[in-house]
Amino acid sequence: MRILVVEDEIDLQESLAQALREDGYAVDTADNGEDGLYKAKSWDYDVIILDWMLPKMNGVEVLRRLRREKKTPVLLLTAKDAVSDRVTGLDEGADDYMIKPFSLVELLARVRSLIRRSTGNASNRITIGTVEIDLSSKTVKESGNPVELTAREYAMLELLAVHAGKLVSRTMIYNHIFDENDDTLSNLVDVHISHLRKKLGKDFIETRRGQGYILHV
Amino acid sequence: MFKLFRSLRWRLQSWHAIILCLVVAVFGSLLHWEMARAHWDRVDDELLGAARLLEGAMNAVPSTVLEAMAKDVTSRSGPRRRMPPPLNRQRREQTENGPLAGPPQVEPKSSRPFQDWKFPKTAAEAKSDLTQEEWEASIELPPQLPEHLGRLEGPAYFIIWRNDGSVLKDSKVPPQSPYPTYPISAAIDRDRYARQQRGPFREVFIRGPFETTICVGRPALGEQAKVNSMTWTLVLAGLSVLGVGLVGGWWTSKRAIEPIERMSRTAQRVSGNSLSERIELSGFDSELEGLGASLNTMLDRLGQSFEQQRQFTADASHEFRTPLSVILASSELALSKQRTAEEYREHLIKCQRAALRMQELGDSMLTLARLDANPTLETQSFDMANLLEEAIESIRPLLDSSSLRLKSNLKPCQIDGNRSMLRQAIDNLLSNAIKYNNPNGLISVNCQSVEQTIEIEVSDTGIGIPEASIPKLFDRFYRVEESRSRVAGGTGLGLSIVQQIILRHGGKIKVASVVGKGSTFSIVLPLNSSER
Repeated sequence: MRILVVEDEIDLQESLAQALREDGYAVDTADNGEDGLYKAKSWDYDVIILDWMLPKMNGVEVLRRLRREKKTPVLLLTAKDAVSDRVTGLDEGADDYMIKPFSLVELLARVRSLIRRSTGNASNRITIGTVEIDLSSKTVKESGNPVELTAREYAMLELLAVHAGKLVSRTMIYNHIFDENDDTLSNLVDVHISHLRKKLGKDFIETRRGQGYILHV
Repeated sequence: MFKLFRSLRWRLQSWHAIILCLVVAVFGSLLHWEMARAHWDRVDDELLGAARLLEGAMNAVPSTVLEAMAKDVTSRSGPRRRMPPPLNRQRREQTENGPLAGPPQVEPKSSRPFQDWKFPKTAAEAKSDLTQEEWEASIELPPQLPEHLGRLEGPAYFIIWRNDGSVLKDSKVPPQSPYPTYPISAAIDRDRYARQQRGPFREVFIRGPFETTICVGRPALGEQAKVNSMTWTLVLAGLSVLGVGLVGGWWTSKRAIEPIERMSRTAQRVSGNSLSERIELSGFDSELEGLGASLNTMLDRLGQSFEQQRQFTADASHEFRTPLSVILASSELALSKQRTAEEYREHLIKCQRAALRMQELGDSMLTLARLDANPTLETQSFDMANLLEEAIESIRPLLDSSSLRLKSNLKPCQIDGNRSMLRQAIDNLLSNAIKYNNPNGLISVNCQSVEQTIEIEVSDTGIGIPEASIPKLFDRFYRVEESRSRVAGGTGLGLSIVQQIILRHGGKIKVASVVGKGSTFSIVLPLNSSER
């Protein structure tokens, strides 16, 4: 899952990005509104965390312009706490609203909930065949036995699982698993898929040649 | 109830009512009295006329005397009789003086048979020749009183008394009611006549000739009814005037009091939490409209300063949130799992930076609060050029590190003022000139005294300020760029502090700026700030 953090307070931006990366997300950052809008338009992020007060273009303006093209879930993060501000933010298209100062744990939970809702899942637990994935604790069990996965493997499984029953292209995997600073080679996707197959069963992931991968419900 | 008596409206209304009642009662009574008198006067005049008629008749020469005289003239023999006088109007005077001496006897001349005819001067003379009984018997009264008298009410009547109280004569139509008594009233002698209302009868008395008293009366029920109806009309008119007056007064006092009540209601609402309430001024009288308008202006200003205060508090808490969220996020992240010493260090540095920013913010707010609290300004005399010199020296290391040049033209300017405050103002301006300057830019600082003021100029060749931002530049927490945490960040209070300090010294601060070219802040300070 890939997340964009648009925040001009560099210290805060770094902490946020680090916390999200440690939670297994691919994270891009922008420190002003214009960059943020450009990146938000260029990539399909799973969530955008957007500050309101930004140089060059404020967060609400970024949101307004983004909404003309995309419905990427946006979490508005701001020091503006007045009810009228929250209403404005939500009405302009924000999916969630958090007031600074905030708790990182809560922020991560809200990010998860935004992803869950945008992919149309009701619960943090996804069960596919004998495999059970817990999105909040990021653990995987196969027939009740815990399975050890690397962060990348888990991220890929999660991506396939939330889109279970649908085709997930290689581009989509690249777009959602790796951040802008990642120059991982493309065949690494195949490596991660084969590792997942070894750990979760040979037929767990179907390959559609030239198209991508699919998890069958 | 006690409250009611203390109410202004009630008191106004009661005064109004009392005065109105008095006025209506006094004028009504006067009017009634005057009208009734006029009415009765008319009746009495009629009766008096009738009485005079009777008096005249009584004064007339008795026919027996006339006959005797006539006999005397035709026969030219027999005793010469004194002739009765014509109608005598000064009867009383003459009676007082006693009978006059008779006229000299003149022999009648045949050629002129009436030449010796002498009328007796008084009725008393005539009377003296007649006995009382003869005279009384000789009185010839008109067969009836003037017809119009009492025509509507019933017949008029008269009574003539001898002054011993016995009745000499009376009319053929005596009153149905008890016979009028002989009047002893002195008013008859004083006013030459007297009148009285006896039951339904109106009666007038005069003194008649020869120790008599004449009374003429008639029923006056109609007149009485008229006067009564007039009384009632007046009472009703008075009551309606009173009613209209009271209602009008009630309405007027309501009108007078209503704005005050409206103001008090508004004040009650305002004292809650709604400074936005205003007094509705429509329908106010001009004086109260003035008061209401001043109150509204006061509320406007109160509301404004309240709003400013609220905005300041909101902004301040807002300003603290960003560094606070850095501290919380960094510490939470650092503590979320075991980390290397280097990682902890990084997070601690972030926390420290944020804490320092909060400290700066707190200090600035405190400075502003102290300036707002408006304590007396402690002043001393010092050289402004010297202060500027010191300030420039203190920023020199910064200038070198950001490769900026500084040019100064400082003329000695002795000034009375608070040195440390003014130093802070200059420091803030210089720090802005550095922050917003372009690399290799120039900062110039000038100072000179002009008449009773000194002028200080701090200019830079930096990014400049958009024209739209200039009016808001000195507002608290205002930043040209809405974002708060760029490298040049600051608290957003620096220029507010500068402005407050300059204003406290009775000075002015202006800014001129061209975007991309730079800004110039000009300060004008009076030499003696205590002479503001």
